[in-house]
Amino acid sequence: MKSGNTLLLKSFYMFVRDGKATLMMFVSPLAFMLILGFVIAGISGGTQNVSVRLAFHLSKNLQPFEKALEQEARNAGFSAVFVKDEKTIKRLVSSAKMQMGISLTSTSMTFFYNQAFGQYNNYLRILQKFVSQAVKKRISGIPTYVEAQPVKINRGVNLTVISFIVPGAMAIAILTACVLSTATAFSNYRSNNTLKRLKVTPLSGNTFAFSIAVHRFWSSVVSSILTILAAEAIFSTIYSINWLLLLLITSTAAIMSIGLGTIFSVVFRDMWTTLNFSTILLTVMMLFSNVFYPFSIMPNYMRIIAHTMPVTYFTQGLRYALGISPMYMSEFLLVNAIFAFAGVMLVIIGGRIMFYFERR
Amino acid sequence: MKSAWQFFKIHFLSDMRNRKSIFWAMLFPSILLFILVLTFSNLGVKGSLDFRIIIVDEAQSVKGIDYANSLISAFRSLSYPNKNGFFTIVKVMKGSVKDAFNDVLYSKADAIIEIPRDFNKLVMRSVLFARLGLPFAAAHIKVYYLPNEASSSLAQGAIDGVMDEVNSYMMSKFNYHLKEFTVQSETIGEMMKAPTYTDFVTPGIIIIGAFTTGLLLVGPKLAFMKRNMVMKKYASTPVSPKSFFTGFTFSKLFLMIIQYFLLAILAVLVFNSAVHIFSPWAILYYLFTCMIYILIGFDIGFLFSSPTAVSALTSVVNLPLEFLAGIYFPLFNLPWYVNIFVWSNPLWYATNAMRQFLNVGLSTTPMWLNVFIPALWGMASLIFLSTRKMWKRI
Amino acid sequence: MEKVIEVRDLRKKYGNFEAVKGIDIDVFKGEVFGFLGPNGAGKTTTLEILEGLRKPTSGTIKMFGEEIKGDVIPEIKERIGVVLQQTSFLDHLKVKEILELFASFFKKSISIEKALEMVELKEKVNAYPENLSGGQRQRLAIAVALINDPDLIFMDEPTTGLDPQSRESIWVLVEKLKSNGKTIFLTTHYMEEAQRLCDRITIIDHGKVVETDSPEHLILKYGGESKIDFSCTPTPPTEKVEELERELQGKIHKLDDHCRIVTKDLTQTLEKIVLWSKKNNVSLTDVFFIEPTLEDVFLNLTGRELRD
Repeated sequence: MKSGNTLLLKSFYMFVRDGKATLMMFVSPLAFMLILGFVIAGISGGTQNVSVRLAFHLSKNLQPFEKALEQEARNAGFSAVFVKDEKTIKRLVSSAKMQMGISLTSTSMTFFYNQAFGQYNNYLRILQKFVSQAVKKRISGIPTYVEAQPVKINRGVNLTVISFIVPGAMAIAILTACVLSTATAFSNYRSNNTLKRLKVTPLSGNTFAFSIAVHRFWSSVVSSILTILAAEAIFSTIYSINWLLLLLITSTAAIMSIGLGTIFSVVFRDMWTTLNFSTILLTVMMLFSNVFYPFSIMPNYMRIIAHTMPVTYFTQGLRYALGISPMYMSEFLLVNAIFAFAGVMLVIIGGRIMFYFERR
Repeated sequence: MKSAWQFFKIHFLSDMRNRKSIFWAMLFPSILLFILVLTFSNLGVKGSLDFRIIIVDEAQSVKGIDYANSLISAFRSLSYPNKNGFFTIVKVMKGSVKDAFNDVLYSKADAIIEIPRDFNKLVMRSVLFARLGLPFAAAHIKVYYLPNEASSSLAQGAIDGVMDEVNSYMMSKFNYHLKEFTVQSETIGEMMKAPTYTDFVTPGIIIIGAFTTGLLLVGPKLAFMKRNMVMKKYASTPVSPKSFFTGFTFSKLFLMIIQYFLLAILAVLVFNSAVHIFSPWAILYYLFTCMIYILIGFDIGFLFSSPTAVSALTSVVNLPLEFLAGIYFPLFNLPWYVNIFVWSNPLWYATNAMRQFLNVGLSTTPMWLNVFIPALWGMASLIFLSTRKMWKRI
Repeated sequence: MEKVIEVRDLRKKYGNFEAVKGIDIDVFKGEVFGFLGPNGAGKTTTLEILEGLRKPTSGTIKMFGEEIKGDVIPEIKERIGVVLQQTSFLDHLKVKEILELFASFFKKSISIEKALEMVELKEKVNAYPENLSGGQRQRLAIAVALINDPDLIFMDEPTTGLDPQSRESIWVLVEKLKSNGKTIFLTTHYMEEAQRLCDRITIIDHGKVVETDSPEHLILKYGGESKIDFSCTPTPPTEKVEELERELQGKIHKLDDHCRIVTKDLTQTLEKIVLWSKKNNVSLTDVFFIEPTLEDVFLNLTGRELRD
């Protein structure tokens, strides 16, 4: 007990005096979320809820409809700019000031894409389908027999894309920070023989592993809260936060990430391999999960991979705690229980093996 | 000259024998390319969109006429297994829409379309009024969705988007003749036909590869040599700093050239990319930009004393720079204070330029800027380096 | 005498390579026991097996009369202190905090002040280890090893890489520990260190014990003969030198500007040389004695030099 307390205090000093560790735990999640937030929101419609800027050119006989068209575009969440000729459209699109251009006459319409936008054009082509149908229908004079009227199922605030992104970005950021800072701490202690020195004392591997884990744990919880508050301030996201659930999910996810970090450092032995493996795994986690795009636009194999990623469940739990999306309480608790249990087990096993390996 | 060659040889060999160097220069960008292609090449492509919808048909038929059925078949025509479908119809059910709510709430379906009781009556009236040329109000179907769930929200948008097509579809069932109207598209800056995601991302990956090599293999190596007094040892011999820097720089450059061809060949042979890997302009520009990264690597190596500090710094700056270079996604609608970083990011210009030179698509930035801004970085690095007493202090 | 460590037929294999080939060691209470051998002889491997950092392939180890099977049990860890070959301390902790931390691992411990006083680092109590000199850092490592007031201290090449002054200060420290009744197990490849500090020495080579004894006995047994170098003014004629050779019953080697006599009995030979010089009216200048060292012992026992 005496050793546990002292170790806890000393590892606290070690943690707060270690500029790199604190930077990793507090600054990197924030920076990460901001960058991702801005980039993703830029593509998919951020704070102003404008996702696509369209440049329109109308032939003479259609110019009276400019106002109506603009209104309709705004309702659909686009911003439309009317220009005098196709050349201007091309200039605006090619310099990425506009994402797509449309030139319209009474018998035809032409869509302008920029090749440099790559895959993003796939989305624009779907948009083209919708827009052209709408225009065609109006020009051909088909009456609207049936209209779709959207009905929101749950109450709560209407969220911008950035609000979807924040929980995911946060999940990735916390996971990265916990895994990397735990893994690097342990690998570092191994490579500079600190573990060896501790091994010859009566200290147990678990006590040591827990003392390192504890400070990563509270700091990641604090860091999550700060990140959420920063997101609210910067992106004006409005969540109906259930603080209790939020604390629960960030805590259990932090425990699980720390467990993963511990195990990585044990399995990969040297710091370098640990770091690289973690980097690659985190990239995979980031891309193969429902963090940035929903399952409904993923091909099947990606859905399967996404379902095996802890970050998927972490994000889901976060969204639930932030009041964005529903989840069965039982499912939420199950996720938390699994995270906490798996995390603690991994730290225990990791701590044991870590010291065991010091005896070769 | 002889010693420059020796320096070139030993540094190149030491990189080839070092698994860290091999990892960062060869393996990492290849893995990155692989993961990205696997992820994004099928994402959002027509045909991979799949929204699960439930149709609740509450409509009562009027004198045997059932417009609701044509509506449902209109949606079926837009659903799988039809080619280019948008939807999967999970089920069509009678009864109350409330019974289907839980399916949406807990992610079994993305949206519910409710066809109301008086639907047939309303459509029938509309059709009649339309024939008589009288104004009429449209019949409504309700789309229930979760605004805070991306899948659900997108599904609602998609249903809204296809309504015009649904109307046209129903119209065609009534033998209505449509006025001729053509839709075309034109791609600005088109260099190759229908570039895939691999084509889009390959230039960026090549740039990331070179940048990572410049940062991770130059900076830490110099810091390491400084710390272990290797540089002092060199300084005590008659060898000139010029030989060392020439040999060292060219060894990295040579590595980057190997890296270029490795990645390009991987993209072309394994991922069927159509990039023009042997384009002389692409190779020239690549060499130019590699020199800039090596110079930046030198700066970092001189700025920090410990190799670990250099590695840590590198991994911290790497990711933001990649994201803000539009390598994975195109960049738009960024606030001005983020744009400042984009506009000063040498990787952004390099990616744009390489896309054009590799025949993927025209650069979104003017070519002179693609040369000018990275060159500014190079100049700044050189100025910084000249303030260091290169040989004595290292 | 009480045995603190008793090792029988200790073996350690790495794949096909046998690093330790059946070693027997006895370490008695209160002695400084030296484990001497060239690099790669198996010193550190043996030491780390004793410390519990390596698993032996076979053999028995008893410490404080208890047989060690598997991991070293905490009761024994309480009684030992370890100075590793290279010690890194936990980063971002001050000297005082490191000692407090290690003190907390043990049931009994001495005060931080006392530990620092013993290693003369009192003024560095609030310093960070990275700001200490090499010698100071090593003394800190020793302070950490002493914090639990151990009965047995393992030191693995404690002075390797240190400057002569720091080395001297560590030697003084070891002597102080010895006078406090601690048992010390020391590995080294420095002859002077072993000769000065150790009560008994085991010489190990290629994973085998070559010989164990006190340094004096080892030198006496295996060190070979002493040498006396001298020169005379004026230079005596050849027949006088031959006379001395007959007297000493040995050959006098003529080196550049002096003569050398190799002898088993230093005192008697010296007496004879002095008598001879008086008798022949020559004065002896520059007289040197070269006594055998452990280096010679090692050379004679293994046929190679220690720092091969």
